[in-house]
Amino acid sequence: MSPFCKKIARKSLFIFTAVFLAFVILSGCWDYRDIDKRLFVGGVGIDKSQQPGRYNISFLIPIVRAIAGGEGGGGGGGGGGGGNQKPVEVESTVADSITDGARNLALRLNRDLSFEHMRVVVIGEDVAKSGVEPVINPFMRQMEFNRRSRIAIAEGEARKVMEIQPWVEKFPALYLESLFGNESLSGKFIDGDLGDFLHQIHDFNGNALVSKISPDSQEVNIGGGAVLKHFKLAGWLTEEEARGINFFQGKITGGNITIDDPEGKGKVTFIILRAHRQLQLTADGPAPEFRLKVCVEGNISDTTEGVSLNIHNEEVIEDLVSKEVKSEILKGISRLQQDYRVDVLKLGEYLHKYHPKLWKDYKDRWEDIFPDVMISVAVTTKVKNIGVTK
Amino acid sequence: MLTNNDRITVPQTVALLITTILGTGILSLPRNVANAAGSDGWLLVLSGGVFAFVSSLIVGALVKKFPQDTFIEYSQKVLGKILGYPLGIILILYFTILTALTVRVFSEVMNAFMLISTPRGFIIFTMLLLSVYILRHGIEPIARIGEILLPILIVPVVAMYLTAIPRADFSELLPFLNTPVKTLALGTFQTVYSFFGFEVLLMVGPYIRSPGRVLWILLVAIGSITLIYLFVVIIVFASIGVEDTRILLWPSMSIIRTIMAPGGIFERLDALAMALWTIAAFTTINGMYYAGTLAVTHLTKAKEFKFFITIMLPWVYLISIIPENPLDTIRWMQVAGVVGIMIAVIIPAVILMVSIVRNKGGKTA
Repeated sequence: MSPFCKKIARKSLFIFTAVFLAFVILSGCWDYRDIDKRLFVGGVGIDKSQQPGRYNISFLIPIVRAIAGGEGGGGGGGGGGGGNQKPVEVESTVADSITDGARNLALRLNRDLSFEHMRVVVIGEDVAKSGVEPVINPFMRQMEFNRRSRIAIAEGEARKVMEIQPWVEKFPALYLESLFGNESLSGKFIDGDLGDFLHQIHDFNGNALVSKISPDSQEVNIGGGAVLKHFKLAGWLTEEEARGINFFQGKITGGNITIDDPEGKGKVTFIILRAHRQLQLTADGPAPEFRLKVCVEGNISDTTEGVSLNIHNEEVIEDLVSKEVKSEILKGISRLQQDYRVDVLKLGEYLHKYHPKLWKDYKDRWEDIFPDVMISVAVTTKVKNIGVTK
Repeated sequence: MLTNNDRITVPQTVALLITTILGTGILSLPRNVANAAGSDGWLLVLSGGVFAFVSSLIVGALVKKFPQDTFIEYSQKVLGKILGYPLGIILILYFTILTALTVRVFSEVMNAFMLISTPRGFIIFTMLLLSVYILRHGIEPIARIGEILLPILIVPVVAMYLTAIPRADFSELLPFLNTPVKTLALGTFQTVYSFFGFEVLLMVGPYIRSPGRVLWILLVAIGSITLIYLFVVIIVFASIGVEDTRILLWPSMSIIRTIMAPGGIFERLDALAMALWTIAAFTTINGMYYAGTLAVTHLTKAKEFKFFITIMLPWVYLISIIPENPLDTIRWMQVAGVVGIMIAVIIPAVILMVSIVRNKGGKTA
């Protein structure tokens, strides 16, 4: 072969290889999936099924088609929605796990379930009572589950929560999610996302404080909380107890307190602006003793007609608010110590972090020690603003 | 003797070292230190950095003492051919296996977080092809790529993890100093793996333009790596807690999912994280792969190193698909770490001591 021919041969070999590689590399992608072939799951509800050991899993799926049509026709306006089609659908299936449930749906739906935009996980009361351990693992193991989604335990069936039809919002999932954003309006529920929940579960051996959700036909109520002890539901907290624990943990960013007014004529509403807390270990011994100082700041938003505020009244109101806060905190603590005997106040964590040597002695028997822990509570209140009337 | 007259400057060497070291370690380091020392884990990063720097001084001393030679030559000069030759082969194997494991971890993470159904072999092979392309052009372009990619890598990594701070709880770093000293000392060995990569100096030593400043190069490179690691470990601990860190395979990547950029403009930073991770893995593979090829070239006294790059590709690929699953990969990484201590610390130390005793090479460092 002449050198010229050689050059041509080499060149054509190069071109051939390049084109061949382009075919291989550019032809597509294994992970390519059309967006219109996917169903985005907004929420997952897990209940026990009739068959032992299996779960009834409900997926809350927004119907993109109906929404897109609705925007053009309705155009906002109080949430009547466009068209007569429902904006969401709830699909339920009996399965061994969430993944199994999602795969089961492949027999009925021609699309792929995607959990990337999941907003809420609701666990039914029955499942919570028999232990959440088997159902929560996939949220940790699989990356596609959003760690920022909310998790709550339903009073009753989780499916009922999935089936609500709120009038304020088109998508129940968004409605549920934004409900939990109201922490600055009310501190009477337990706030926390899936990441926080998993964090508690792993740190405290299955003890956790979770949001509670009680379904109605149209709306849900998220007041109160649920206490998990060793992955099992130990019981509920009332709204007051939940707020008491929020005060204890320094998580309060808003809410209101209503008290009797100092002159005995009616009620005074106190709006909480912020609250600080300080926890101190005061004594060790067979059971440690703590001192909790809470400082509440807020405004007075309404009083009964005819009550005028003066310095004296203001002090009385401050005292009354302090008393009310203190009683809520004590109620919360005593419920956890006496009834559920489980430390979700993170006292153990506090000892572990700030008094590691002491914690070593308590660590193994902490569950028995916790109910005997003495906590003294002191609350101070400051009125910052009284509005524009005296 | 040298196959290539290109030399790299001091800043280029620093960039080459940082980008080579910064690789798979950053993803698993928080888990390793959490398992070794709990909330005191971040201290291990500091002690590991100091330990890595001190042991890298041995390699630095060798580079200074033999400014014209690579490990292959001076090991034979100092220990004799019979001992030196097998050491050269071990070095080649080490770099090959480390390249393979790095590209394997890269594909593991890609498969876990983004390209779920793309075959692993395809990810590995395309990544290696890219490396081969750049490596064929020699040391200078590799160092230059390192220099260009370094700021592109570091700045977004820092910025991305900074956005986690508003949600972070720094009390997770407590209790402080609650771990026995013995545990801390043993745990340091766990972190040292993450600083490996400086041993590429064994091979690229003679290509540095001013080998006299190798100490500075090492100080700056390992110092910056320590700071970056410290930052990432503290952020990971504070964001998800020590207990969660223990069970996550790649905690530094998992926490990206919990981060929301301020203002809600970018709800997800996954794509950015994957891009950065690709850069980090690419530069690490480059450094290791190049050092391995160079070792083969010098050992066979060949004139052309490009040939060996292509020859090594299938072997790297085959080794990289040996581990069966992520857990297996992690076990391999641990074995490679132990071998790494041999290669990067013990063998150079022996050679240095023998060379001083037998008075070979240039003046002592």
